[in-house]
Amino acid sequence: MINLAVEPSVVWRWLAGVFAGPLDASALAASRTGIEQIAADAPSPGVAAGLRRMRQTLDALPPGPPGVAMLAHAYTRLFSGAGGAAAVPPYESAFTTPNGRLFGPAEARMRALLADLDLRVADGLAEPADHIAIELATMAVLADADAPATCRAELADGLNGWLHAFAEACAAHDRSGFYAGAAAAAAALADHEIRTGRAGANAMSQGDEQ
Amino acid sequence: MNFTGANYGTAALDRRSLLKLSAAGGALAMFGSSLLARGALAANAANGEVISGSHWGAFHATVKDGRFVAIKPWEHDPHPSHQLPGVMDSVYSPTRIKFPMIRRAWLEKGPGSSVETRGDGDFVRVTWDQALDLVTKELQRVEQKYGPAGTFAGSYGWMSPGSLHNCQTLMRRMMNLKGSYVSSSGDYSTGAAQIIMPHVMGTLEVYEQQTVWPVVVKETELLVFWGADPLKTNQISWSVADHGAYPGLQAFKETGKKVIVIDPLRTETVTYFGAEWIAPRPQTDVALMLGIAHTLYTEKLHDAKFLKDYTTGFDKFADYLTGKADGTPKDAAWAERICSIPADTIKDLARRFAKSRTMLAGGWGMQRMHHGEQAHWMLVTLAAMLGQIGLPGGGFGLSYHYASGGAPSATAPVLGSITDGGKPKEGAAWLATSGAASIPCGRVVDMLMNPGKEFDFNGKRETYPTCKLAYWVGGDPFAHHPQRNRQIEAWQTLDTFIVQDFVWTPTARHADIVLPATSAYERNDLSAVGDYSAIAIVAMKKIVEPLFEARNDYDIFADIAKRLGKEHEFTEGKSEMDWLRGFYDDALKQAQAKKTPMPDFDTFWNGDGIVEFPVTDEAKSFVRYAKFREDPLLQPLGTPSGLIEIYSKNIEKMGYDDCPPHPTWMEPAERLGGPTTKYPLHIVACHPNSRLHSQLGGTKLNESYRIAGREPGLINPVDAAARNLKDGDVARVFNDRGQILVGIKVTEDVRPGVMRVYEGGWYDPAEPTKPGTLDKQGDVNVLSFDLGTSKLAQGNTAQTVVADAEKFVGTPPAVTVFLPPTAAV
Repeated sequence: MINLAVEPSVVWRWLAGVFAGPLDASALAASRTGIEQIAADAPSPGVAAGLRRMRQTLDALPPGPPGVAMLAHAYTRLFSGAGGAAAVPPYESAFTTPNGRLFGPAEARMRALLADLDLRVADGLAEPADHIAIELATMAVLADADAPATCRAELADGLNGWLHAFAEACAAHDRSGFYAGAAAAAAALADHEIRTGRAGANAMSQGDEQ
Repeated sequence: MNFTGANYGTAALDRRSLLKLSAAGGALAMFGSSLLARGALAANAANGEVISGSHWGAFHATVKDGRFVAIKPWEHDPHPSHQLPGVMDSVYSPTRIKFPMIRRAWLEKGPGSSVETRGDGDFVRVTWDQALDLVTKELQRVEQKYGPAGTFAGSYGWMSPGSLHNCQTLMRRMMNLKGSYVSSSGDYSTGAAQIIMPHVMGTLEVYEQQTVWPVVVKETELLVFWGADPLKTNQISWSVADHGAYPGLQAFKETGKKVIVIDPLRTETVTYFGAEWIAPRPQTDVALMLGIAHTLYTEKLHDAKFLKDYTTGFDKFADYLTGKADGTPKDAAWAERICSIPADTIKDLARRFAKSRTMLAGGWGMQRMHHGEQAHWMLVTLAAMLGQIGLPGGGFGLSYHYASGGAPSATAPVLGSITDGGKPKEGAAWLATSGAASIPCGRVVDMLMNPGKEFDFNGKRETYPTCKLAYWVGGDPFAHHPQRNRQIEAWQTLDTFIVQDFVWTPTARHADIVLPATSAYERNDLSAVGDYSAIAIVAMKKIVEPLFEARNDYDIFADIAKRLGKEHEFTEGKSEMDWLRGFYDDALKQAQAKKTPMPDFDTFWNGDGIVEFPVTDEAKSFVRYAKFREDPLLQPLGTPSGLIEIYSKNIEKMGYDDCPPHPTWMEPAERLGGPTTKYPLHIVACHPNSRLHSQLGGTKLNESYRIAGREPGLINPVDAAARNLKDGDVARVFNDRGQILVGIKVTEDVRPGVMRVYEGGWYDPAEPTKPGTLDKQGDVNVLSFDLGTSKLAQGNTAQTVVADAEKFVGTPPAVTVFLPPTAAV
């Protein structure tokens, strides 16, 4: 079981990976297992609902390569731009910049944050810093490094500013349900982070102790 | 946030987290660790203003920390387009193609696999090396198996301005090194006109300088825009737009002289001038012109001397006009029955045209129809009957609505450009042909559906080749080509469809291999400003570094050429800036020979980045065909007779049943009120106001005009009431060829029996792999007719389209991907 009170970064990092690219067979298998582990200790009903949606999709997938391909198709259709009007750009700028332009102030803010952390988007990824995967991965870094609550809260606040709209768009256009669920889970996790900050994790720890 | 001194690098993370994660038994430990790397990027120091240009005009871009953050028009642009912000939007549009992608079925099962699933978005990301290896192998396979005519590289489209990064020429440059290909001729804009006009006037006519605006302002007494909306369509140019027509339009308006607009729509031009609006049924212009001509002839208002001295064949035409040849006089009453303009109005137009110095400014929509050759031929005949061709302010012009035709031409050098290595080009650069075979560009679907079949074209009989690969750059055939469902079916005959573009157009979504190109704003180039005026040369400087994994078209094709063992032949050892310097220096030599001031390249490129050229008084007084009129013997036209051919013996010899040897009214396959037409509404699919065809369709400019998230469908109150349609409704517009959804606006700006749906809307199928599926956003070319204009020109007939409309029942399928939260706008 994954104890989110101790390991919030695991979930942030997992969701980052979910949104970074289509899942291959081993990532899909790991996700199946991981969802079970997280769901047992979901920090909020919103997160639980998102995970449930993801699990339903995984359960319905055909086994083996056809299932992997099906989910990859869903990913590409949603996030690559190839889905036309059914595409959902996975960037904060798309949801917060006037006219939905990419590489907006959110991207500049994330670039600055990464620089402060002495980090950068991995070479070869070729995505802007406000890609959802990068933002979630950064949350994981902050969680792992026990960053001050204010720092995590600021990033969580940024996530909260757009993830709900992102999740709604995924819900409208994701034929598979997996990414709609992942987006809902990420949005709920950001909510939870804001409501509780580090105190949320501490409260769960206290709850465990009780 | 400032974490100075803290180490949040991934090294420390990895060591500590690995222990924790292992302890937790995390199945998810594998995720996300490779997304971030240690070491901050250097701050992007790119800040400042950069000059560049676009089809919408020259502009200054503001760059901050390496991002394009603001755009403003060039200060000498007399009438900047409202679309310019869309240029910046396009760079950062969520529709950008980010990485090379290959359709899964093609990648896993090979060329020609599961072609019916094209368009469903099932792509796999690959590296550039993988993609270009596959592209090269496939080009070679098709050439070996099907011969040089196995590859279609006609690749029609508007791409971007620029001397070097002309992606279509670059592609053909590569193709000529590979072996050969099938090219295409003509264009969708003037497919019929550019073939008939050489027969009639001995020259292309379209894309050639008009009697200039200063002369029109001074001398024209009656300005008639016939199927032309210059206020709207002069926003764009093939090169960088100069907008030089707008001062002329403004100056004419200030004279208070009469303007008549003949158009089924009350256009922006009508409103601007307070013009008299005459609204015939769409595509009946030839009948209306004949009715006017008949009045001129029978009331002896025509200029018999002009016809005798400057034209040939009027007598044969007159037999047709009067009914002597076929028993049907083409009088005003006859014309009224076809075009619905009252006979008295038609006669009155004739008298007013004859009484005044009249300029007949014809648009191009009238020839994008079945038998489209007849429209401009008849317009010229009408102008000849008025006898004012070659007089200041009189006659006809076919480009006053396009790219600021009529803006006086500067004394400017010709700016060279990259060549495809084939035959040298003359005239309009995109009209040249090269390659193993060529087809009229509008017949590409006919070619795919009828390989090996013979077809007639401008006096020749040709054979459609068998193409199995199509490579498309700088164009969007799944926007501009008519009859979308037929096109989708035809495209399934291809083994491989390669698209290279910077945004996910409907065309890119139907591809097998998708290559991300840079936009024009992520590379350096040069362009003339002003198609007709050539008023300046502008540096199209790189504004931002390429986004995602986009590469310049030049580099992509050089890389393919390298794989073909022909890199040096492609690049000639030159870099991007070497080429630009060469083009500029060639122009500089011309300028120096004429003593026209022009700085050297470094001063130009590192300085203002734009050099303007002078306009002489002579240029400001140019009158088209003045020299011909002055002396038709010593200044003959390029026709066989040297005169205006109202009757063409060449066309007579061709013996085409659908293109007689003089202007003729021929019923199109369908039209409003046509004798065999099934549907009651004519769909006027004219050029949009806030796009260039489909370009900028993926930007938020579309929010300024969409209704219910869709292309607007403008409908007259009478027709709306009959269908219980009101503003904001979603309507299904349909005919036997397909069905689309539009958002309704009820307005008196369209005449009864007409619905206006702009062309260029992005095709958005409800069920991408289902034939005949509903298009959700209003791609009007789902409804249009893919027919050749006639055996003469084989132009496209995209304006010949009738349909019906009904309120959409049920919940319309969602189209809007997302809207930014209200607070963020």
